[in-house]
Amino acid sequence: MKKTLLCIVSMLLVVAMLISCAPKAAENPSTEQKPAAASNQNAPAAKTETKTEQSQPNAGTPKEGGVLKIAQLANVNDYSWYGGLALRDNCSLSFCMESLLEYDQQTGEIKPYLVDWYKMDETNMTLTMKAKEGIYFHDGSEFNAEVIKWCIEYYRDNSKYGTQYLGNVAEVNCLDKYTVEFKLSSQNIALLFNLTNRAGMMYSKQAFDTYGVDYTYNHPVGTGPFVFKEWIEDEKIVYEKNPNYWNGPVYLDGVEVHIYNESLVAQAAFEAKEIDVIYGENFELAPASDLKAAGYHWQPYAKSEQLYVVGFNCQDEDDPFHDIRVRQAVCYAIDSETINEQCNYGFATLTNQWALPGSPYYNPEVKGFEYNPEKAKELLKEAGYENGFDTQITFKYNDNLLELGTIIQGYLAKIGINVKLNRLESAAFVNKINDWDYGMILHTATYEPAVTTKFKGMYAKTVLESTALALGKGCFLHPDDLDAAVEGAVHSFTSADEQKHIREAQVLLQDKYVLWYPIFSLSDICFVQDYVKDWTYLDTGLFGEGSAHVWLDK
Amino acid sequence: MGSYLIKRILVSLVTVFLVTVFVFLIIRILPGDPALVMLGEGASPQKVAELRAELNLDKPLVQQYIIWIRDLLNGDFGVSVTYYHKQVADMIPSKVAATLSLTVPALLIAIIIGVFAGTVSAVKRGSATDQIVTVLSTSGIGIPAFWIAIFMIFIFAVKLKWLPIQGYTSPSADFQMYVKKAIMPVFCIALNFMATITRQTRSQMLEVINQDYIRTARANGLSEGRVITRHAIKNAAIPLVTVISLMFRMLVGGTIVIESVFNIPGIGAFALNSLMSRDYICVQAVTLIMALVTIFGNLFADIVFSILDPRIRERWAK
Repeated sequence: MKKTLLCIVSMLLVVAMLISCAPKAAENPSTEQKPAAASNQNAPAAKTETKTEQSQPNAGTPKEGGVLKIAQLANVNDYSWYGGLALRDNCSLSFCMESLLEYDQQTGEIKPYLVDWYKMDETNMTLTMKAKEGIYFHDGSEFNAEVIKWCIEYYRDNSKYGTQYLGNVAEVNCLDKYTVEFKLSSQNIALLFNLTNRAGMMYSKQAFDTYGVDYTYNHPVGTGPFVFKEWIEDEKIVYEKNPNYWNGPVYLDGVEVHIYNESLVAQAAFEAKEIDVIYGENFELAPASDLKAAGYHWQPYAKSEQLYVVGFNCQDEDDPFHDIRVRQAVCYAIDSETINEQCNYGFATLTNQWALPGSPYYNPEVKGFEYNPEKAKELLKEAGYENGFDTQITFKYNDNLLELGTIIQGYLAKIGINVKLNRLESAAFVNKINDWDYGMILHTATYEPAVTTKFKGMYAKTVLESTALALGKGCFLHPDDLDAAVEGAVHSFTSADEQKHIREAQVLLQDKYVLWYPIFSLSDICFVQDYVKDWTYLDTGLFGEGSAHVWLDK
Repeated sequence: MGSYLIKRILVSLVTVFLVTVFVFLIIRILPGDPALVMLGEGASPQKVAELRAELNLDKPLVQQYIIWIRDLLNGDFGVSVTYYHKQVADMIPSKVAATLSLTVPALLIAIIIGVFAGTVSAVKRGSATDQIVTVLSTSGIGIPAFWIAIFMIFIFAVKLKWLPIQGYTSPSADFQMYVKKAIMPVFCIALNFMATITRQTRSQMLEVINQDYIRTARANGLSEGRVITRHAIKNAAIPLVTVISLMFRMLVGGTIVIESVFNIPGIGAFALNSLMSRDYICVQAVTLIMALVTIFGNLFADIVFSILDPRIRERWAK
């Protein structure tokens, strides 16, 4: 009797605990804001729930003071000035480092930022720019032509991405104290975009000369609105206000970027208002959708789009995917619209190419593939695979890709294609990027807004010859017309020309050669508390004005 | 005793050698070129070759091993190439200190409460107290630490706002804040220890309580308290010491999940971040340290065991 009673009491306690864990609706849900017209260029045309870009409301008079606390859902991996490109690293660096040029996320225009102007001379193959006067690094040294020359040359010669991003900069000369001229060995339109990013980031030469290269790994000394104070590894990065910031007043006293490993914990901290902003590539969609449902303000973060794609091994003549009809059949057999609706909580955008609808790289003439399993079966029959075949899909092991791979496996089973899931640990997957043996690859590729650079790395024959690791190097077709379109984009002198060539490449990739099947595009999600004002990363990119004038209305 | 100690130390040294070989080889036989993995997509063959040379990956395996052991014996664990860009040997002490500042109190609390609860449960076998302790200790073993951690954060940090959600402060920097931040992670770490020790204590005590010498002690007029504390616990402690000693390896390396949830910059989080960023130098160092802690934890257990039970060292001496 006693034992029975004890069991019943224990069970009631457990049930009570579970009930108390049930999520509560937000106490003060903020109203979801309509997207501002100017900032909605990339709004998808798809029928699925619109991924809205919610610009800040008219914020009022900025208030001084306060420390902005950010939860970053990915650890800083490479904090060195001339190091990696990962968004998680760039987000942290962007508070104190700035680049020569700034990318306008809305128009795709590349504007001067640390320079007054820049000019590309097609005839003489030079890029000239003039540094803004009156800008100083956090250590008091002046930003001028000599610093630009040193930064560019150092990055080109020492960064593992130096050749890729500044390889065509043959020489850098100082014409006067503030004017610098780049002599180019060849034209590469991506150079301008690269100068809006790490490659164009300006580090204090004085700090480098004083403390050496090891110092740069974890002591960024830039010109930005905040001064680096300390980095406690795996925990947080702390910045203080730069009282002498060249680009207007800085309202915050500082910024703290806290590294969070668990999305649920970050969600709890955000709801408890211990954290003002959440972002990061590892912020899971399920807790993000809880915050969204509770009415918190969200936006895609810094337009770093990840395209979820299926790629095909087209080169191997023994592989069924060598036949374009088989590739087309797979594209017809996968219902990306339903996948997006069911899996992405409305955060992703459907697209049928390597660009978002509304982007200057998007080509509305790309036909793509509507879900049509009957058509898929017809194509397989034409190709001689009426009874289907066995194949595999290779992907890096993570929960999202496993789920997606399983769904694709199910769709293809309906048309007779038996797909084995070939999950690989990260290191093993990296070694399969060149050539994944046979079948398909399921990959997430960062592409916007650096589409030209991405295509150059994958399809330009001259680049492939000199790269150790390139996606699909041993699997994709590398036809001459695609190479010509990509090289045309790379060697353009204007953005309009570049975008025209890329749009041409989109048709070749998707309709003519069917090298890929894009499923959906997903950006890192950012949640911002209502009292955080003038958070403009979405409009101005990471190394421009993004964080300069943020203020807290509390 | 001396010969027993020497034999055990020699065996431990052989084990250490085998572990170093294993740790060295496992990194190198895993699929993928470490240099290519570290540099990633777009890396030029020249950069890959330079990194391979820097990491001595272009040398024969035996030569790589000798270089690594030589550096280890000089206290050089290598330089973190892709992640921290620092000497690994400079980072490890602070990481280990952060982990130990949580795991040592957790183990001490677990021992005190676990032994007490297990003893009471055994002495009052069949009672309501015994039932409650049994249910709680079974739950402590069965419920994942991750779940307990999230639950505690939700209750104590989000709802009640009594404790901070996550983070770590060193006890030397601010002891009060260290205690506030450490309460939840220490409890989560201690729970599993406590549950195991409780059950083990109960089991051993039940065995000992029914022995003849206990009956004799009672017959001689000793109070129940003295019988339990002077006679029963001592004899039950011998296997318990083994169990607790085996928990030493968890002090450094068993807290990855808790450190991840509470964002504590300990050795577990260091291992996880190194793995995720494919920093092989750090992974190698951390694996070796964890293995060494396990080996020396076992050695310590054997020594303590032999002190408590002379039959053990006689057997070894033979």
